[in-house]
Amino acid sequence: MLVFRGVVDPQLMNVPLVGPGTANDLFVLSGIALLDWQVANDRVHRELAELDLSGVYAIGTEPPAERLFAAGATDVAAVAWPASMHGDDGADQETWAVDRVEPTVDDRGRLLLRFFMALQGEDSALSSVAYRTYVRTASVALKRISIVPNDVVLQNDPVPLAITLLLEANAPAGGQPVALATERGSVELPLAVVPEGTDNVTVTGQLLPFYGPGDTTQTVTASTSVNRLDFDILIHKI
Amino acid sequence: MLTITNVEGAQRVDALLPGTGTNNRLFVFTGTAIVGWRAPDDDQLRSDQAELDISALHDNQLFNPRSDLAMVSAWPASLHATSDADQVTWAVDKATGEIAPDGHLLAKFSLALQGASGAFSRLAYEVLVQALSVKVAGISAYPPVVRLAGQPVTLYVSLLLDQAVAPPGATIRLSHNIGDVTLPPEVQVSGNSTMITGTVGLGFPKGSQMITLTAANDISRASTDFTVIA
Repeated sequence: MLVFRGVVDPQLMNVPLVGPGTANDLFVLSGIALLDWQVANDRVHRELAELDLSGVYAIGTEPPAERLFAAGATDVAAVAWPASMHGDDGADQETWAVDRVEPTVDDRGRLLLRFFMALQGEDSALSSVAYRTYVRTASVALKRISIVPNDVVLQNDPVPLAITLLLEANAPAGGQPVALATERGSVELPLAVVPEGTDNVTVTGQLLPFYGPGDTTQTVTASTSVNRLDFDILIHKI
Repeated sequence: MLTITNVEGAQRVDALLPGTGTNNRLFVFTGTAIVGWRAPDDDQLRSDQAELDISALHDNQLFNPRSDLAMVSAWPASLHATSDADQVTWAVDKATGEIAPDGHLLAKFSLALQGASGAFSRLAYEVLVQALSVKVAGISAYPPVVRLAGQPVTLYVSLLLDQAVAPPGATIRLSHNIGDVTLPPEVQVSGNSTMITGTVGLGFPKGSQMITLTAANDISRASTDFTVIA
């Protein structure tokens, strides 16, 4: 599998909806994804590359908060095409292709685009692919995050954290995944999913004792498809 | 005219936009069409047309040619050249959308290809349709109480839309929950209302039963009840 080395100028538009059903957001995501794919001979090479749009279109920075979608309430249509191609006069046969693109929302709520591509020609390259993706979803914003304890004396043992997440409304079909992240530090964080038809969930994380002596503020970020919230934990490392 | 033999990854999203107005439904169709156009062994620049019936790809989704607007974008997706060529070209010179009188959504492409033994194999496309967003506002049945006495009874059903629709109208599906009731499974409603007739047959057990009629399209539904006494 090929690995994209980034996306040039990722662009996002969010259009409010009033349906059908519980759908309330249409996201339009576009960009040019960069590859370093070169081949050395005239054989047809076929490769798959996957782009994590939940990461590319993260909400904010420090840390980037993944934009997670409720798989049961999300429909996606995507289109992609070659954007930068290179040929060489040493080749007898040249091909550049994005044969198809498949969008999926995985078990974690990440929106992934899979590009099925082909390349042929001695010293030829497919250096980027352009894409546009339409995502219709039933977004639910986070209302509150709370973590207990939030003032921790840390010695040599991990400290469990009870992380409670409250949504603005009940989770849609299949549940609402919530990404948990920290910019730095040593916190084990699970993936949280608010069950369908409810508005809250409590999950357990763990503060690991890998902090320097003294006081530290550790920020934990939670995010859905539409917003992020931060919560600070005070750590006193002995 | 080139023939599109297949489409890989045909995808669809539809959305209901907020606000007033009659065209608040947005459809998005995407895919990669297999064109399979190969150039002969010369470098002549060739132009040709291709057409894709989007409706046929998506459960025969039909549109209103008088009210709905289609916009098509397309890009070369799979290109091939050989060293026999001195000149190579692949182009989507034009892409347009058309809603045929029968409601089929057609994407039309003007393509170009040049290069000895080269190929234009696939085409990526995106079709946006701003469509009528009519909703069923109500349904009523007359008579409200049907008394069966040895022969079927005519049932009058009226449908009301939330806005007027130009011909050929909006497709409204009709259904009922139980019983020997004959109605067309769907009707085309022009203007903002229509009256249709059905039949309440004799296939009811003795006694009184409540029947629920439902009128629906993809974005709305309305129901009404009437009673049959056999």
